[in-house]
Amino acid sequence: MIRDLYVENSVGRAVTETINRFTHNHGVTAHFQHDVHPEMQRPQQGDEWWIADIAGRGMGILTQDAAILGIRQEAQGVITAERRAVIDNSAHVFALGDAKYTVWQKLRCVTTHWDRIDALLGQPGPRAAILLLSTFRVEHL
Amino acid sequence: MGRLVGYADAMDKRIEQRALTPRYTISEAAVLIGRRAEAVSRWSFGHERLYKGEPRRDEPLIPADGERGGLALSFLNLLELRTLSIYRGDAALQAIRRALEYVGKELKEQRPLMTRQFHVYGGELLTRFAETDDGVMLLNASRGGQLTAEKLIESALWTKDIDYDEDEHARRWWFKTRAVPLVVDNRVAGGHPITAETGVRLDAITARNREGYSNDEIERDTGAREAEVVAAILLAA
Repeated sequence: MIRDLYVENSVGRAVTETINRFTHNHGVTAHFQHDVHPEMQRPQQGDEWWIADIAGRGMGILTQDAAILGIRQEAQGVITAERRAVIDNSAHVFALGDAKYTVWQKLRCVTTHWDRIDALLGQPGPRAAILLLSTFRVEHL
Repeated sequence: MGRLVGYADAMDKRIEQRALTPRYTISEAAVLIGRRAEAVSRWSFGHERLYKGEPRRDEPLIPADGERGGLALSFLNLLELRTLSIYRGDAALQAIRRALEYVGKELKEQRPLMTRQFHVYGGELLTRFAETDDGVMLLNASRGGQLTAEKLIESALWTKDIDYDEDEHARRWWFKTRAVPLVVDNRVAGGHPITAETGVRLDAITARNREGYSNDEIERDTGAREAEVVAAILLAA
């Protein structure tokens, strides 16, 4: 059962800290990307690198980048390197469905769908889902 | 310059598969290269038009790696379009088209905008062809391969705004200039524009700005640096 969530920089520290204010309720600890990987985005690093690293640490991923799931490319018959990394590393990825969400909307996505997020965290990876304000869409990998 | 030549020589053999993955719509590419979406579409997928009452088709100038209407273009396509856009500033489209067709056909290069560096001189595209005892010879690709001695032609090398990895694959494009800490990195954030140092998506910064966050608050919430936040906000303004 995964109990740690890696929150990507673009999702934000406010969401990370809010999740952690209620850790005693839900049992999950959120970790802000910049604190875990301050060097991550420097040259020679990329998305596959941190996906593998985080999956290896036994953490789930909360990201603003649904692009790392390569859904649109898959519809065109292309498996992106990031999607391959998610699959190969048995990662758990929860991606916000709209990059333009406000911070409040991001938080609403997380809390609205928390039970389903928690359920996927309890399953063996790879697992992925897209979080929209009113919809939780499981992405089959 | 030396790096560019090395890259150009090797590129056709080592085009990285990842750089060929479709990631951008026509509209997204248009914003990044600073051209209208219609031009990007014509350059990438060709164009049907009437010439003296007869239908005519202009073939595409680059080999689009995706599908029209969807994710149409790859990172490599972005770089090709940017190169094309620069040449287009000093040469007519027909001169560019002739040059690309010539290099593609006679020099058997599939992606000449990536494998050749052209000088734009007198509205025509010339490319380095051979070194002789008399100096470097330039091939005028817009004029069917006419050879001339190299002159001291210095065109702006926009390729200085590209970072290469250890295998000389293009991977990061400083799409404004290196002075502005914003990049497109084909290995980060699905190729969406991000801040250069901290990798925060620009739309994450601009969304917070629209919400009324101060720059300090955006820095704290995303981990982006002050200069990155300011640059992202100015770009969106």
